[in-house]
Amino acid sequence: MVRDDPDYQPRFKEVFGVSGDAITIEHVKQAIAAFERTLISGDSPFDRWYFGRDRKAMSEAAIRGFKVYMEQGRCVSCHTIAEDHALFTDNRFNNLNVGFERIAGRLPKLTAAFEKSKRAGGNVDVAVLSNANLSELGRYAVNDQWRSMGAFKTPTLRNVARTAPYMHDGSLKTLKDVVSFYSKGGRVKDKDPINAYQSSGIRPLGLSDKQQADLVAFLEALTSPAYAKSK
Amino acid sequence: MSRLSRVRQAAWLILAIVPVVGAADPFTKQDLSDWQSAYDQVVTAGRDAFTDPKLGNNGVVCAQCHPNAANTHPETYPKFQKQLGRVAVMWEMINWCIRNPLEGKDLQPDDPRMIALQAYITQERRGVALAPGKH
Amino acid sequence: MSAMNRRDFLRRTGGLIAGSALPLSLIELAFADEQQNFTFAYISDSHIQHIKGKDFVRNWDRGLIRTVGEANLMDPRPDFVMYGGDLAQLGTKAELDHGLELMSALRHDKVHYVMGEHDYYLDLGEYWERQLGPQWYSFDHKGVHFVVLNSVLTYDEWTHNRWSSGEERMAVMAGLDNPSGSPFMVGEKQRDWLRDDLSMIAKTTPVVVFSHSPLQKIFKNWNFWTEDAEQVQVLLKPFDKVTVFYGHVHQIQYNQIGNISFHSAMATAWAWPYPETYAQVDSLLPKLTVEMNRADPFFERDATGWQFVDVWSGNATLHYSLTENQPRTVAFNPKTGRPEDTVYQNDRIPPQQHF
Repeated sequence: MVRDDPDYQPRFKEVFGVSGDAITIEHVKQAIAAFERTLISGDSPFDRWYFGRDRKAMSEAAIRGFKVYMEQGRCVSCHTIAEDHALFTDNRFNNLNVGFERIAGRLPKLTAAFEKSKRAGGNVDVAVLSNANLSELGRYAVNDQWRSMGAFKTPTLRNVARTAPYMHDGSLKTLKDVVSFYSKGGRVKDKDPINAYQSSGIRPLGLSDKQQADLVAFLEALTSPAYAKSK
Repeated sequence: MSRLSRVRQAAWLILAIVPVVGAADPFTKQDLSDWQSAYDQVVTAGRDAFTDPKLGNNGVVCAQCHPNAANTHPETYPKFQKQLGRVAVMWEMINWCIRNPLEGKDLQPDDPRMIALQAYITQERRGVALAPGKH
Repeated sequence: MSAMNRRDFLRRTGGLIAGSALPLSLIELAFADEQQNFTFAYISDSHIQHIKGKDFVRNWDRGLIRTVGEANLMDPRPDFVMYGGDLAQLGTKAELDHGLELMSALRHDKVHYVMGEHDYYLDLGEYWERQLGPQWYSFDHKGVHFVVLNSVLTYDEWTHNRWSSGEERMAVMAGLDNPSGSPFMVGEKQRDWLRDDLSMIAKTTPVVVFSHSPLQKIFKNWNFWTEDAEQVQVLLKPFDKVTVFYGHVHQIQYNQIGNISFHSAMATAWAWPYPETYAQVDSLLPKLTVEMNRADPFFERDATGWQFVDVWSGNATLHYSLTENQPRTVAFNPKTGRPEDTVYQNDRIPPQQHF
């Protein structure tokens, strides 16, 4: 797909001096690795406060937000923290009830057709990247397991304040929206339907407005100064 | 007679009067039975809390998922608890369960029900070797 | 002609449930007599629990909703659906109605229900019976004789003579580890019925029996047990191929006793520890069973799920669909004459431990 993409073609030519079939997975790996090196961050206000024991590194609101993060917000179970480091992701896949409503009503037909075309040798990558309905199948499109229906990978939260918009389809614009979405158990509005395949880690949290604001303050404390400067 | 020898003499007299066995052991059978009964009462209160639909807010009880407190493995605490993001002791995980599957409010660590819950859970696991940190 | 042909079977085992495909030899055998092969979905132990008014425990509701959603994706559709018992937590009309409402979202028409103790002990199955029919019955499907038993009966003296109300009786029986409970049994009346029912069936006919509690003795403390299990087994002994399915235990169990294969169903509601985790009493968990790992309670569905069953030449293959875990498959192996996990049987992985 990279070889045929009009956006990638000139960029690969410029950086690696290759085009067409000469573009290999090695080039793609190098490009991704170069990108990942820009993400390394470990000196955010949170790191200095939690691991560096600098009590002034985080605001009072962020410190209250950390308690919400660890307890009532249930955030830590997927966006994990360890005793001596924090990756803020468990690398698992979950259906959060984002964007799935688009296909929920006709799922049996959609999956039957998808499986049929997959068996006939159809390209899954092309299918999920070019068809908005099929893209909502998430991890299921790859492993054919019902448990992965509509599931997308947990991202890290480092520098999250600088990476709007949010969720796998960019449908939420601000961290405030995201926190409100989780507090409602995976809903933008109180009465939105919840699909049958939603992850069992998601449920309504009943966070107050203040708790939600504190949680956002905590998430803003995950930005590393180096990353902030580079943007 | 010097003062010192008078003290020695008095000490001998006392030793001669008080039975040696009693002096070395301050616990009586009554003490032991009282303390056991105090413990047993707290274990019973713990079983009551463990099966009390009012411990949380949705009517779910601990024993629903943990018959005979099985799979609570008190012998493994303290240990890293993924749900809490750090090494935790057992009452913290009990509160996690009260907050989550039971949809209730945390108990204070010295709440009599919290102490009773730990007594019951540990009593059901008696005889198992300590294995702190184990998963 | 079976709705499921050979190609569909291969698709389902090889495609949909990746990593659990049957060994090829087994598939060949499976189609010795293609007409007798079919698939049914098997759902159990949803424990729909009423709080008050219109509120039910969300966790258990979500388990059944999830399972129905997954079962609706079966392609081709199953011939029918079995429900293994304990639809309700305390047997109330509100709980049974709400559970049946959630079940009504199934795309599949025919559902056969089994009685569980949580459905029974409030009113001795009266409301359940009004909604769903007799407590024990049999039917035939594509050459296989199916029998459904109510195995959660107990001594009359316990049932009738010591309670101020049905609610009180139900609350005691609902506590799995409650020492005031009583052992489950099929009972003489039903065993007589079973003897009559089976007398009309050729000994070569594959027989499939559904009960809520295991018709084998595993752990009396938690009623992983049926008091007259051996007497029921005797009635099943003359048949060439018998498979017994049961719910109640909320965990994967399987066993082979003589001609009888035993399989348990997963719960849609919550996972139970294996009995050996209660260190004070010995258990008889079949050695054959490769256990599941312990659940992480953050993911409410961890170690829960449902299963669909391929019946081939009178034998069974269980495909466990586990919401938060790798799928597992337990299939009858004609070479060893017993059910085996198709991946983990001889190579038990270290995390499959309970303590």
